[in-house]
Amino acid sequence: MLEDGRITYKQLIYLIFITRITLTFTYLPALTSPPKNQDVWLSGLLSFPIQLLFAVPVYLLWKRFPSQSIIQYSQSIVGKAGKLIGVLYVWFIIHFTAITLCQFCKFLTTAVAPETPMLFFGISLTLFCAYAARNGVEVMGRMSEIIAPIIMIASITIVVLLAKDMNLEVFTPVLEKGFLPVLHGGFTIAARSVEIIGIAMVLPYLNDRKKAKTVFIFTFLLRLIFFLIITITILAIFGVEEVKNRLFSFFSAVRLVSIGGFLERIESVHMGIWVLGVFIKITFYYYLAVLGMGQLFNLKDYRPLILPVGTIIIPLGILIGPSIVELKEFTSYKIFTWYSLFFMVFIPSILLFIAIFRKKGVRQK
Amino acid sequence: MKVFILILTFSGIAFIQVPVLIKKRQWGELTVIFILLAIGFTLSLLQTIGVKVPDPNKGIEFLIKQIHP
Repeated sequence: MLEDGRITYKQLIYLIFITRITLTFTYLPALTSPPKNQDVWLSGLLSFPIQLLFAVPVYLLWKRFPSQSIIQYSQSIVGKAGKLIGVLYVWFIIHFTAITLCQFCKFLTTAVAPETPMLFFGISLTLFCAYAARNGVEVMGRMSEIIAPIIMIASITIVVLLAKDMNLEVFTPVLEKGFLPVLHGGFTIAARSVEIIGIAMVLPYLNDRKKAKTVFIFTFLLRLIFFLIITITILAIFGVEEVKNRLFSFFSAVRLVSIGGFLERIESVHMGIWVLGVFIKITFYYYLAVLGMGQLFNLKDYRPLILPVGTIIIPLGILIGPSIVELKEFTSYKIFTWYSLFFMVFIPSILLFIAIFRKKGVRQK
Repeated sequence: MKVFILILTFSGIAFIQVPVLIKKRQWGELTVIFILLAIGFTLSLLQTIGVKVPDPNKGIEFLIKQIHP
């Protein structure tokens, strides 16, 4: 076995929750996708059932191959062509890690430390992540068990501190443009759940197999709650028109906190949770890339691959983000939605059909 | 100078990883590591000496715009 560690369902929920929620703290891509008005929170609500629907192929495939990850069962379903699918997945995970690294560096160089070169942040974070990824899934689970409550408490505290500046009238009229844009918005938010691939890779290491359904439902539920809290706060503070012009809307909101003239400038708290969250996120996908590569080439140990993969992630991360505008265009709903849907839903459903047709895997009662 | 640092970094990584693997006779890992290091080295070298490397995001964008305009 490549990985001997086991992860409990609670740790997995926290881990996946962190990897998903971090982007909401800074970029919040949902605000620039349709419906582009005050109904974003409705799209967020609608994204929950759509997300569950997207997770169905992966879940059914895992039921058939309970001890294999997506890279392994694609090889046992279609044989040699499965290697190609595995290469595609490894590429996607590495690319996604590079995108996250680029987003992290761009946020720091744009908002906080404009004169530090991007390479410095990239190398230092990747080295830490390499060390964490080396220790395997068990350590990541425990780490996220500590970090997730910090993130939750910190973000709720910030929202409570901002409560006096909110103006809830911006949410009327509800459903201004009708129902279809809201549904489209829910679809694009759900299509960003790259973590479904992450769950598909980690599920074999879950220690209690009966809890897989709980993992899916509670991860999405937890993400939904915090997404709603943050979106509603930002919209209520800035209003719809101003939010669209801001690059880092939650960060600007945190800067506004001012209680009684002494509790001010708490954006370092926001920076703290962002760095912790991105650290977990990059570690997780970094680990998945290395583990997937190990499963793809039938290696005995994935640890020697960690540093070489890091040497690909750093230049790739710098290459794909010449400017923050181009990066935002790629991660916008027009491009990234279809790119991730291809890996998240399209390939797993084809694999599922072939598995049912060829009667591969464990039969269901 | 930059190229020199780059070569130093990559050979350092190779020196950490390779002798252990040769001792353990894990030839599969060794091949994969060399391929990965080669890709990483080419990517970083081209960017360091200022060659314009094609952006993979642009390619993906182009493909998706063909299918879904």
